[in-house]
Amino acid sequence: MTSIAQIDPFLDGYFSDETREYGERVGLALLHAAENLEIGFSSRMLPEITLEAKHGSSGYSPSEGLWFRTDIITELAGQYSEHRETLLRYVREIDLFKSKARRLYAEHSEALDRAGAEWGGGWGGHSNPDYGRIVRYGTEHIRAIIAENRKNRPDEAWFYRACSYALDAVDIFGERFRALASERAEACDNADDKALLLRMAKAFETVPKKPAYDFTSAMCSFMLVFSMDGSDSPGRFDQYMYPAYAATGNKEEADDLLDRLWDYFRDRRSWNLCISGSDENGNDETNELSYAVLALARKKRYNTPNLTCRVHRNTPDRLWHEIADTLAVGTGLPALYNDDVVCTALEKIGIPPEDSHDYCMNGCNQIDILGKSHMGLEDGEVMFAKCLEFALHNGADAMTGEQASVKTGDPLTFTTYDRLERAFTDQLEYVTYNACSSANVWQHLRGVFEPHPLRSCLIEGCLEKGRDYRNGGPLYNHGQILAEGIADVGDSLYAVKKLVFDEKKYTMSELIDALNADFVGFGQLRHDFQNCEKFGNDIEAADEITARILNRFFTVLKRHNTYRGGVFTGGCSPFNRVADYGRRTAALPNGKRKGEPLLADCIAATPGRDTNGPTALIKSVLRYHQTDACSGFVFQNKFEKKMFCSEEGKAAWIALAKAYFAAGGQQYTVTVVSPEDLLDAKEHPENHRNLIVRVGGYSDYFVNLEAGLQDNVIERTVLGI
Amino acid sequence: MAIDRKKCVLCGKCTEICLNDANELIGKEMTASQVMAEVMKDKIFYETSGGGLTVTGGEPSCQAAFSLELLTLAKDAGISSAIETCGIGARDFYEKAADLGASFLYDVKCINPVRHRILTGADNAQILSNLCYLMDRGMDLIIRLPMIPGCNDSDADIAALAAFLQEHKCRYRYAQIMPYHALGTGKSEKLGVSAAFVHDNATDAEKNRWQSLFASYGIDVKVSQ
Repeated sequence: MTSIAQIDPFLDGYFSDETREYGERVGLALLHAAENLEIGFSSRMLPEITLEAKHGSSGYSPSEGLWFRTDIITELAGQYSEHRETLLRYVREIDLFKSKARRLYAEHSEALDRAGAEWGGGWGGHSNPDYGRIVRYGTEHIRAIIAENRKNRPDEAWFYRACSYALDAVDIFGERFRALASERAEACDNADDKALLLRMAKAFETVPKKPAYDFTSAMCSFMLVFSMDGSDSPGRFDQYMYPAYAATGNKEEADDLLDRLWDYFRDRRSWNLCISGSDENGNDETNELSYAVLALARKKRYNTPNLTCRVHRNTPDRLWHEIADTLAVGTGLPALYNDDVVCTALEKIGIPPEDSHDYCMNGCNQIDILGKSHMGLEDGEVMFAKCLEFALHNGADAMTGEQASVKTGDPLTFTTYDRLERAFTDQLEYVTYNACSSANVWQHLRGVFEPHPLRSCLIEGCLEKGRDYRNGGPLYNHGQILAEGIADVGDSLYAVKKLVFDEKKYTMSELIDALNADFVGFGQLRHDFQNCEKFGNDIEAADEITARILNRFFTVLKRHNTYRGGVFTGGCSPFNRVADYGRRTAALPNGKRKGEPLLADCIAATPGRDTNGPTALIKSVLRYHQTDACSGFVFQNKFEKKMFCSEEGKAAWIALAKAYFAAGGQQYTVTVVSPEDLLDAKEHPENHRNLIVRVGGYSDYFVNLEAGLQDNVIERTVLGI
Repeated sequence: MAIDRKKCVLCGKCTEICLNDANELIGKEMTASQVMAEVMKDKIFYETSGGGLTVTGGEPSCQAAFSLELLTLAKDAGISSAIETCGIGARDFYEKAADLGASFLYDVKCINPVRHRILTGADNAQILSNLCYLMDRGMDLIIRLPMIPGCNDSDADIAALAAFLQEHKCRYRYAQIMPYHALGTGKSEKLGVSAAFVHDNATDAEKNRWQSLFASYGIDVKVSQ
């Protein structure tokens, strides 16, 4: 007879003792999974764990925690009649639990959500646990931390038990891989494969319980815990793996393992790997592994992992040149982050320098502190353009006529420009408040319903406080809300200021009529509004409004606390939602028509409106308070391939990047592509399947983008220096 | 869109009126200090690139006073400056520009004076004399070799250029081939004039031939991308 543990070990573990706390039951589910799940090697023979029951009925994922599919469990109840009653009872229990979760989520600002003004917290996000903790110290070390803290916190005994179960699971998987590697080695005919399997079998005699002693054992330890954690974001890989890399006598073996790992990252779509950086005294931390990572990125040309390179005032020239060489292959990687600005931003929200300098990215551009925080996920997003639409229609959604937001006054009664800008910032504050409170409801829900005992072992603070990773355990628990459509609003406000209030060429009533008519019959008006000075051309009068409204957003955000125990902070990375937001926004005074998909490119200008060249655009975006943005503040340039083909071109680009960073730029993303490539790719996608472009936070294949976004990418001013 | 160029007084009104932006006015009148204010906006970039102001054309020596005023302002502002020139201007202009410490991007199109006159309409004696003057003064010089397929790129032309470069070796920073490109044809169309010379972009084969011919005389030249 097949046992439930064989059918679905998560279910078996979770229901093995229903009197336990929920978090502990999650730990038990992991433990039963470690004992019963099938294990195997990746396509290129690295140890790999996929935490999913074989029928897909349940599993454990980084963004959702323990999950169940009751429809599949119900099917299984039909298939395994001997367990029918038990399985059906489990389904009822799970449904009951889920409905509790739903009840807790209060009905919240649905009108705003529907209007596309904001969203908050619906996404579990990525994280940067310190996988190096197990690689360098072993599970025994973490057990010692548990033992030391649990005696002071008897009320949290269940939490420590949950974490111990998770560590047991890691150890059990390790032991099973030792056995599997020996068994495979015996049957293996290929001499190289056999040697690798034997090395791994030997490594698993030591790891993950004890520290790794060479690069093979470090990789075994890393793969075990990284794949158990859903193969998410490796973080500062070149830092925590370097001691083992440096200690390895056989460089060829080490590079072969890295090559295998890169294929694994691609297969699992692993997220963000970060290299280089500086410590709190400004010392450069680039090492040979940082260069090995860049060399792999050039060789493999995958769009994963999303590669981040930290630069700072002491970044060596060799690294700058290798960055340029890597960008030249056209994957849009690495994205560059400036320690001098990011660390200052983090220190402004109370993170001490020794920790701020351990930042890295998870997912796309979200900033986290490696192994110390739960802040690097998108908690929500605020749509600036929609807030302006509300302000121009006294809180109504101009697409539907519905009163979607608060009333901030009839614009026809506004006698000064300042009054209009205040109506906008009032809308922005209201919508931001909604995004934050919505995010907090979700943070609370996730704290209660998605405990992560494994991550709690890998993130500092959790074991010390006796609190889960999701529940305020980490040292830092700030939130991140993103801003979209910034320059569209700045350009619109500037045009209204100029033409309605300063020059009095048009009345507010004419403008509102034109917007309501989507400019039909108002060609001259639209032409004049469109031809006002725009953000992105280093023209102070036009830039200052755009900068001011975003700076305002940062200030407002920091007033709101997160449920987990930090403050909200802001950033801007558009992902692929920006086209959709444009479609859900009515006509705007910058000349955008109703439903037009094109909107400002992250923190930069509205596509096609920056006509003074790249240096002017850079000067404009430097007007933002970039040290107030604690979530990726994405600035992207797209370059023609040609630019990166000569030493002169590369040197010019390096000088440009250095100037941006020296003057206070935070992030810089570069896409190397020719415009003909893009146009042709739109016409003939079949010929350009491997054409990679950077879309805000990540790189993607151009042909996979929807048409609206393709146009956006094409329209981004193509720069030549 | 049709434009009667004879009646056009360059007032630019048409660009304001047209709702479809069918016509545009390119360029505007500025004083040297206005230009300098624009240049200084990019100061942060000169600091990391070592770049600065390049006075280019048209031909800067045709607006000598204005060009020199710009170079003076650049010197006062502490940024490096350069002049891109065909070399035909008066000696006085080059003397003053050299006094202001400018670098020179200096075109040499053809060594044979007869063929130079045929190709450009002017003799090259003054050009080569100005160049030698600047070399004698030890100025920072980049010699530019515009190469137009079928015009000035015969074996004999290149042999003469190579001999000239050989004679003055070490008196310039480097020499660089500027291959012909057809990017200007759009400009002719916009201006409503027919281009005097139209040819396809120089090919890689042509570029390789030029470079290896120079190399065969022991002259190392770069090729502009």
